[in-house]
Amino acid sequence: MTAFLQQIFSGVATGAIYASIGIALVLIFRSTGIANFAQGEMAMFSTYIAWQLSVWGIPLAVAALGGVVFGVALGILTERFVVRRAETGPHLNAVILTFGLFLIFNQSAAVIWHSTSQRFPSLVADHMWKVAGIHVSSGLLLMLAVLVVESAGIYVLLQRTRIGLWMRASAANPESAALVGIDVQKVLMLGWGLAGGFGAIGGILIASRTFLEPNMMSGVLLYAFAAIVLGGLTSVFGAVVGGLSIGVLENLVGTYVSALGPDLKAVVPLAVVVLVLLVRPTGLFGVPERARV
Amino acid sequence: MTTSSQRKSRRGLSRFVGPALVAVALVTPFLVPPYRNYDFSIMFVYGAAILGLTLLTGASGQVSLAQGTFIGMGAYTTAIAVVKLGAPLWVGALVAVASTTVIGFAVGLLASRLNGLYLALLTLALAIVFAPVVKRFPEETGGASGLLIPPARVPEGWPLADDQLHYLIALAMLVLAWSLTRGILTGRPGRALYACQDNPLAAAAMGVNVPLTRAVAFAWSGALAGLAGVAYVVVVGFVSPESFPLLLSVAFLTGLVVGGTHSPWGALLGAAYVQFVPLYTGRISDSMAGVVYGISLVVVLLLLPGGLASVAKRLRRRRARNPA
Repeated sequence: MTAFLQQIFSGVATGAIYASIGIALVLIFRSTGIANFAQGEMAMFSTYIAWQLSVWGIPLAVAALGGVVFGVALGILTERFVVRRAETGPHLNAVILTFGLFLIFNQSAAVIWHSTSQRFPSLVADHMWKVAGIHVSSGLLLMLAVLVVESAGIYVLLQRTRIGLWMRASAANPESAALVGIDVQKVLMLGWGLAGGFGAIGGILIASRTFLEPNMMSGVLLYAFAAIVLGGLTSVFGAVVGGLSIGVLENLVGTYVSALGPDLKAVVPLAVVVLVLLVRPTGLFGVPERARV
Repeated sequence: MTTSSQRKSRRGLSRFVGPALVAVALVTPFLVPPYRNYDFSIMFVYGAAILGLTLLTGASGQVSLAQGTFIGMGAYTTAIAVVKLGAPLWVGALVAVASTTVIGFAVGLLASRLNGLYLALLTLALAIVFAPVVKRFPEETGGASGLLIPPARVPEGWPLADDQLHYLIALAMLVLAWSLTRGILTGRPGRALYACQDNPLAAAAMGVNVPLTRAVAFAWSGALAGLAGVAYVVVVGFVSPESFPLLLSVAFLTGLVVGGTHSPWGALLGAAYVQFVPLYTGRISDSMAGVVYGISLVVVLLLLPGGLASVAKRLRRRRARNPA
């Protein structure tokens, strides 16, 4: 039983990472309808920046902050100079465009920092507590803390500030939003920036838990997508719930379903996506799509 | 102004482009060194794979991140049939193409109910799961160390080297893939595919079974990738779980877009692009090719939506407008 609880707890911690990337995906998807397949790579690149800064001797906290700021800037620049030009064309182009960005970020990281994996320093001093038989490490606590802060932050931003109102208005109805004087383009740019920041946080968390490597995000991206499908694609809250659920499920399947084991647990997100589509296509917190014919 | 007789003569001329290219391609392996034959053979493999995307993405508007994975399925099926079951190569080839077609159709059926995002996710998952699945069954697949396939030998007395034979087999596969693609695109099925992309409702109203058509597009693209997989086994003689990474599939999408999504010529140009860029960027870094792919994909998408294949058409149109 303790082992079971332990697995659930570690799953929640991994899920916090998926939730982080999932929030980033949702922020972009709900405002532009684009599934950003480069999100994971942008996060990885920002994480490398943080790592590089810390290697140059900058204190880790500042370096991590630098990585997040870089992520925000990368998101803004990507929207302004690349994605904006594809928004008017066919939707297929916008999706393929994000694969182009995927290649650019993934492969330039490999060119600059090579494909060997790097150790990312621990963000907090290692410490282990034992609560009711469950091992709780400082690293896992940090992940949960970050997720709570992130969720609270994004909630306050979207629901309690003027900028959040603009963002919600632009996502709900861009034409009307523009008519009441909202600069929709700027809001989209901001959305991409925020997404870049959230992605960077997720990237730094996962690198500090495992390692830093140009291909480290391809699996994570899949889990994060599964998380937002489960959560309903447009709901930030859904992304958090979905991320945590997928994290727990992944951990349990990896431990207890020996036919799959740690190698094949990548089928978990796939199964979740298929199941959600069959049973409840709008996800847990999504709004059903209505089209007038 | 172009008179109808001029137009006819131009069409008459372009009729010879295909056979002329094939003639050049047939002579080439006897003129260039073996390593170039290898490069060209791989280009043919890529060509067949990208032709699959011309049907799937270009015509029916569905994105796949698993075209490289489908080559892997075809290649592994061939390799297992030949190495583990002792079947002759042609039997392995038939089984491989049949199985990638069926898998393609199955994915397509599932996908026909999904919009673009879910489809991309589904194929992304396939691409990521492929290598672990292959490693999970080492008895059959050789596990992480892969499978070595004895190379196809030139029959006694033929004036051919092995690399030339492999080249010719790969070329034959490509010509087959090309004829299939062209046949589909220029006929009724091609129009149905485009209709499903442009306006599914109108297509359905015209009597096109939209989900089935989309699934069939996936089956075709699977079949072409299977052909490419067979040719891959012949040319490379080795398969391993890492031979067909996600990056390969994204490179194929790059080839499709850079070459041009709407004509089979685009697939050939794209294959040449995907195959020959790394030979020039490799001196800087192995990953430099990926950076160039990514940038060219973005630039072509934004500035030249028809890809390289549309350049000739544009020039011709311009010349028709201002005759010299």
